[in-house]
Amino acid sequence: MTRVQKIAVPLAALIAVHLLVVFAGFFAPYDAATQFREHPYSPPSRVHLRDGQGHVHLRPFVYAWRNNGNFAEYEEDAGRIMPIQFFVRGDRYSMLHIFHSSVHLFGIEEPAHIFILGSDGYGRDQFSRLLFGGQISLFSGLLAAALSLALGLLCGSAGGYFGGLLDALLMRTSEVFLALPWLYLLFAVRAFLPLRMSPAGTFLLLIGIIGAVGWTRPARLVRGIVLSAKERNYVLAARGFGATDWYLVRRHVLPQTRGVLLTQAAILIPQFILAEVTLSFLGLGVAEPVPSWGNMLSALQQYNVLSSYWWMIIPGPALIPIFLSYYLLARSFEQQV
Amino acid sequence: MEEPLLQVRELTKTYTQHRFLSHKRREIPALRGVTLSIHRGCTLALVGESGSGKSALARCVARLEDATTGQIWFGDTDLTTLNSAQLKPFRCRIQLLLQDSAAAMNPNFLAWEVVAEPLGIQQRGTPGQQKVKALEMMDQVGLPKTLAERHPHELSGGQRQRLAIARAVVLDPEFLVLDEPFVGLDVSVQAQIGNLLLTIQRERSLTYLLIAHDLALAISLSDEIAVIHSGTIIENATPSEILQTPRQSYTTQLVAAACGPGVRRAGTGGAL
Amino acid sequence: MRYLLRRVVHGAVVLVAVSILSFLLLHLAPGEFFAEMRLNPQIAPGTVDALRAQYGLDRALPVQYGLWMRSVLKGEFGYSFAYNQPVSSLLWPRVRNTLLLNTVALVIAWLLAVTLGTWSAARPGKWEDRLCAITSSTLLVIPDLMLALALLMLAVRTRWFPAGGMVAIDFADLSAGSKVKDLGAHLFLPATVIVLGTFPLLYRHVRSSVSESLTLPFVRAARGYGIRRTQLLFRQALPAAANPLVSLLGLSFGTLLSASLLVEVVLGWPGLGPMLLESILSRDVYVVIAVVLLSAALVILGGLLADVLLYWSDPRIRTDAP
Repeated sequence: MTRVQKIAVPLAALIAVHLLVVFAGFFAPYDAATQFREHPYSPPSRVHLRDGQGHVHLRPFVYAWRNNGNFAEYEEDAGRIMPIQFFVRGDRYSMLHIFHSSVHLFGIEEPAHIFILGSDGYGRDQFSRLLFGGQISLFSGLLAAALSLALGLLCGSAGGYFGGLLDALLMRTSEVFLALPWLYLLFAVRAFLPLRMSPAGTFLLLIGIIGAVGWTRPARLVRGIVLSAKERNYVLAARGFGATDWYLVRRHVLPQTRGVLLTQAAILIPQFILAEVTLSFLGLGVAEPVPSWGNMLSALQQYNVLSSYWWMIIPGPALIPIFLSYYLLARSFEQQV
Repeated sequence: MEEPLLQVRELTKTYTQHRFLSHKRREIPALRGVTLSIHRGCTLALVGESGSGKSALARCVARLEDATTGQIWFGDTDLTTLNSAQLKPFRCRIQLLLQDSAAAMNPNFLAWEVVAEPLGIQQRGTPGQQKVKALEMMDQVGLPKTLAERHPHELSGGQRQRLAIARAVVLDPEFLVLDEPFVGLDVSVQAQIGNLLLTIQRERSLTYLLIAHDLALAISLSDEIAVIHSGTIIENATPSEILQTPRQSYTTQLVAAACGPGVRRAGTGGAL
Repeated sequence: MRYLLRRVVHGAVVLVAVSILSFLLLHLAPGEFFAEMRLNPQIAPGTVDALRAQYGLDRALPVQYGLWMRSVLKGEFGYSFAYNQPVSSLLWPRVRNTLLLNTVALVIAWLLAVTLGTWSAARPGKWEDRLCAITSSTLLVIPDLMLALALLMLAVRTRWFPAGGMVAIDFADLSAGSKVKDLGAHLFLPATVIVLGTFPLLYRHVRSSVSESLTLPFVRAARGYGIRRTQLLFRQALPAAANPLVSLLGLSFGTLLSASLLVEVVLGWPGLGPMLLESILSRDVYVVIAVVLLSAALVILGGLLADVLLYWSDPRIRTDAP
């Protein structure tokens, strides 16, 4: 694998996943909040091409699930064949509140449903919730990492370049942060803030907390680079030509931090995604009814879910390929730097 | 006799090291009352061993550091009394060629960008004009156009030194401080660089303060030699005087080390 | 020695700073333990106020901090509103449980990492090395939460292991041997998750340190003398690689209280984790502060330990010391 390929492949995978999640409204057959109370804990729909009589249908189809009387036990109703339709009209959705539509990639005529990944206790389609939940989980990781890196860059370069009291203050503060194990720090900071807030407020709060807690590592790395770059002879030479501090930082020092920032981004984003998922799982993050991979997983804390409804764990494995991509990116960046 | 271009009077420079949270300070005196003067168009060589204070003097004269006490007269202005805003016009007139050219250039810059940087900092002309002038300078120092888009570490030692010289003169300075320009170059390349420096000096009427630890090179390039030892000038004379009638024992040792037994170089400075 | 003293003082200062900061933030945060009680119409407001006065919640902040400090010096670390007892007596059994879990898990993880890491370093590129590398990378990419949930699911479905808790209900009645077996069965799942989570990074570090030390001149020379491979590995190469590993050991020690936080909550192990979560949700402030401080203290201690171990193990540092 060439060097460019090593970056391009995971990057492409990540972009694809993020696009999927951003356009969740289109790719998901239902809205995240749509409930089908008569189908709680329905297992994933089985897609067939060949029906009971052995005919092959061109269009894949599912059988309608029929409740056999017991709670959450279903069997396929072989009599009713429901073909999957594409580009159907379904629940209305909006993209960033700007663009509205109700066209979905696929769906099924009422009264049947298509639950690719099953449904939860309220009969909500898990696949749709996965996509919408991804918006929260993936992007809170991204935005928190951006915040962390920005803070780290600012503090690290200020401290490293100007030294003196500012630098000492920076180092002492970061030591206090580093004295606490990361998850504890996150919990503690979360504890200090209002527990019940609006979903939008919680989202921003989470990004703020996670980003603010994570600034120390990038700050220290940036500081190290700035310290060594500051002493280079070409900085001295430029100063001899009359360069101002701002020029020196902008043209000679900051460009050196690029490698570190990229690597840190690839390392921090998955950590922060996990932070959001963990917090939401424990009830300290995004709350119902807004889906997040964390609060979707928290359903597994009930015994009956754990023992009988295996599809509810899907958000967990969903994280793995994403983390793998970020990990591969981090490895490639490290080797390049 | 006209006034000298550069006069250094009783310059001292002391470096202090603080230990965090303690009152102990270590004071390292680098320069202890240095006095010298250089006339326009001449070359003064400052010779001494490592640690004698040569680089400290170079940085103080180029105003990259502040001297502890003393005066530095450039023409009719005392540079030590100026703040950074007032110094800015002087930055164009006094240039410093740093030791170790490789470290003195940002490895991410292209060769022409290195030369053009001073123009950008001093905001002379548009970026297009700056590039043209940079390429012109590279030509004047004998660097082929093909090297313009290369990075500094891709050039040989001699080519990098030429690039450094191009950068040093791109702002049309009057005075150049050359800090050990021959270190790390092989003998033939040293000769080429030396010739280049002399040519440029003639063409542009430059004044040089040449800092070296190699007495032989200094003798062949300069009009006057100052020997510095432990932060003071112990001898100041023309090259022939240094060779034939050295007044200090230290100077004698330097001469012996430079020339070796039985080799004598006669003649005035200025010709290689 | 003076250096060590300085570090201890430094650590203490950091701890005090953390305590002040936590105190401030927790009390400034909206919501309070007795807020729920206030909403209950059956409880007279006077009672709530009396309770608050009893706990000193109506005094000024610095006074409260002073009271808390006094409680710390007495060994009580404040008072838990929810459980109606001093925090220290509440936390001590929890700390014990967490320490048990983490110690077992970390010891196993370290043993595995050191043996496999050294072994792989000795056989670079062979299939054993590749296998270990792939395993560790895979484990790195799987989040702990996922591992814990997956193992829990496995336990529940197969009933091979108890799915939570630390001991069986009738623990007290079991014989000594059965007690150990019961504890072990309950310990297995949470310890496995922690081991799987911490092993990859440890293995990486061990492997790279050892393979670096294998290239050192004196190790190569030893090879020339014909020393047997295993002896070479464990008597020559490993000690030389000890330097960065020793620091890592100190840092690992610092995580003895915090490594299992999530696992305890998910798998129901009665340690500090669930206690912390509960106190956060109910705003039992003194418990939260105490837990936070405890883990900070341990992290600082771990750093100190790393320095001490380094000093002790590496003769080069000793000769340089003033």
